[in-house]
Amino acid sequence: MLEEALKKYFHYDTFRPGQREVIEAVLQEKDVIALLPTGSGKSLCYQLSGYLLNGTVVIVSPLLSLMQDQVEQMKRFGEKRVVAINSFLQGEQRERVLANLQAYRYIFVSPEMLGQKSFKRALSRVRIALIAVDEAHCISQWGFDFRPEYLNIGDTIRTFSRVPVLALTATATNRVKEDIRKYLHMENPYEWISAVDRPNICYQVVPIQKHYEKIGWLVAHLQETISPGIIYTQSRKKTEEYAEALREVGVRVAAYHAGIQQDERQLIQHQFIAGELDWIVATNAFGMGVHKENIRQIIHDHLPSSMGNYLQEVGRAGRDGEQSFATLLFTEEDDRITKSVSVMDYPQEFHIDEYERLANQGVNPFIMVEESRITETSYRILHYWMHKLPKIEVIEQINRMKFEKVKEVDQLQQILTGKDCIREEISRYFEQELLTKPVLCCSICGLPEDVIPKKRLIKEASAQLFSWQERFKQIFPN
Amino acid sequence: MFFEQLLLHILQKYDGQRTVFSAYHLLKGKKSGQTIQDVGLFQLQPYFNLFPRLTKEKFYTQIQHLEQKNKITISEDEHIHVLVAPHLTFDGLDGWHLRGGEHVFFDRFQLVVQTISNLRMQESRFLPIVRDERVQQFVRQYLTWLHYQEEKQQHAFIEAFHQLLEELPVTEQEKNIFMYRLSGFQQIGWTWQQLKEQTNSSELDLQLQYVHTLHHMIRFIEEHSIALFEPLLYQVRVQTVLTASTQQTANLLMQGMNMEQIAQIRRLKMSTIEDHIAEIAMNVQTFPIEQFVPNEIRLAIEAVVSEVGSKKLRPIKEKIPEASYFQIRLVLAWAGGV
Repeated sequence: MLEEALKKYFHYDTFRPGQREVIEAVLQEKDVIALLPTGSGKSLCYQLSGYLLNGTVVIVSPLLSLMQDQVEQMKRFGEKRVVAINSFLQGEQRERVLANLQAYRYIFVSPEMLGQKSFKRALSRVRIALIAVDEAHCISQWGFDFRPEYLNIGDTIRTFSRVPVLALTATATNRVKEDIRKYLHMENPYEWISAVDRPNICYQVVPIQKHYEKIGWLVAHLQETISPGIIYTQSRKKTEEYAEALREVGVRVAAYHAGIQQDERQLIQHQFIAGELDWIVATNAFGMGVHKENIRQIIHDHLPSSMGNYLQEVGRAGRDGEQSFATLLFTEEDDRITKSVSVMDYPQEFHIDEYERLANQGVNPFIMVEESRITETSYRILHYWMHKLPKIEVIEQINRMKFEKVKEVDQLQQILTGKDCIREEISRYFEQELLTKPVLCCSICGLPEDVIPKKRLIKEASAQLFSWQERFKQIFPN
Repeated sequence: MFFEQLLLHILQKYDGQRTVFSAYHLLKGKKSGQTIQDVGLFQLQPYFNLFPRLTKEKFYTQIQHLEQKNKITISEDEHIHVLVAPHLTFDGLDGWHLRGGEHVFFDRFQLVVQTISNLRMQESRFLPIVRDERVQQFVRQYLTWLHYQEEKQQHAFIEAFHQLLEELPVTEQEKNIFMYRLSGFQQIGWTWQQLKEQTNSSELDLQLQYVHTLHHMIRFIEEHSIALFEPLLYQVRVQTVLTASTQQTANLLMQGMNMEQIAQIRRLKMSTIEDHIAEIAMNVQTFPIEQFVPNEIRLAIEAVVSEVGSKKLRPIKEKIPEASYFQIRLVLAWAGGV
């Protein structure tokens, strides 16, 4: 019966591992924690449930871009009764949606909006069948992207009548899982934990003597080996630098970061998906909502800031199941840079003083964000804890969080550049046992030279500007 | 090259009376009293808001280039004097009335083109190139109106589009740029970076030519009443050119209140209300100038302006001491407006 529904609504014949189990538990009105790897069809779990349950599915989702992407995808597959409620939705349009909320089968909402009175009031008229919390690891301060406002989800959703909750995440250690259970007030949840291992991804670490030699390695490597691929860097400047050097030798590549205008980013994403670009050099701003099955290589020129981030980025390779490669270019002391970058988003002590001073004067401390004296992420963390704890403990709390952050970098470095099998260590980090190793495992286990296949020798013709008449014929050939 | 031309032309119009960043605010489309009044005063309507995303650094680099090439000098108090009088090789810009609406038009147009191109290839599940929900909704309605599923209508659209490009009074290069920004079936539009490499032009030049093409296209569709495209222009031009706050002042004015009353009711400074009145004088054709400036004073101001050719307030005030500064500003704004 589930297969029939799968076929009817999504045109698939079989479930991917975990999907059926999760959906069955949801239909039995159990709370569920599902740990499913990125790209394994997490969203299908609540989407299909939505068709089989009698009522609306509310999906809490932390990232605007992710939310927009999900809504677009569902619409493309013919689901019209879907809406996203976030800060993009304003004024009259917002009122119209809220007044008509019961007409939707799927309601996506940001955690901030979920707490708002007007939304709660509108939602109280809706018959809710399921609440899905996407990226549920954000609820845990031990997770790699803790979002304070996630902590309020639990309280908010429990004000509605007893509705089953489905928590979805791609990465969670046992400690994070425990937090999810606790803060979402789950009773005896059903758990589905997928193996984190991706057997078709081969891990290699390439030691590089000096930082500035990385660019030369990349230029040589990309000219020879298979694509498509993504290079992840830490700064906008680096993305531009690499992209320019690579373009010069004829690689079809574009830089991508949050500083590039929205319409340009859109073109770059589309070109990459359509195969008009072979490589993207990106900051971590790239990837969310980019559905491309055949990415063959992910290269990091730096140590990522946590296991969660690393797996999310590496996990974009090989969604089609074909052999793919993850390469880390590592130079001694790379961890130092990563550590300083990763604690940058935490408030400093002077921010805490400033916050207190403003609050005492009766001024809304949010002015610090408006005057760019603190980042919004930092402010959210600060704001949350200042309401929870006395000032002196806030300082302690934030120092503790920074310390944890630094520890995470150390852990990741040990795993990626240590003496043990990288694949085994990744599984161990998530307290899972690795049952089998593929032939192409990792650089510790030993890899043949030139393990990454050479690219076909036929050079893809680089795009060339013709006249507008020619282009017209390309767009409208018939 | 094009951008340089434009910049010189604008600086020339400011006539040495404004500092470096006046032109920057103009191109960015800043909605401040000064920038907006200057638009009328120096007849800069075409160039308002052409580059809303221009950065200060990029702008300043351009100014420095002009200085190095001895085309302008910058005096100590940062005022700019143009040495080489520019010749503008393009016209038809209308920033004042479009204010970014040209990009809304393009977004709609490119999504329609992408849809029809994909449909012609039997592909109905493509990734839309425009994510903005409002644009998608608009285009859905437009396509329904067009009966886009019918082959005959698809052909009509394609042919009308081709004809429009042929007849459009812009350069071939500009048409090329426009076409290569569009996406279709398995064809994605080019980024500025990619166009830059292929054309050896600067990004600013490309973007100016692109915006210039859009402005012409919009006018062309309007003037020739091209029925297939006219719906895409819905609310592309600003409904009212007044800023929101000025509009409120205008409403009170029409109810018969005087400036003091308006200042009191709105809890605004008198000088702000004066800014608003000047903005109204510049933009509203039926503005009753005689209610604020007696006829003989207005004529005297106009005479002095045409005599000395300057739009500086002080020299005018010296010749007509009985006129207030506000009256002089008002007459200048009124004369420079619509």
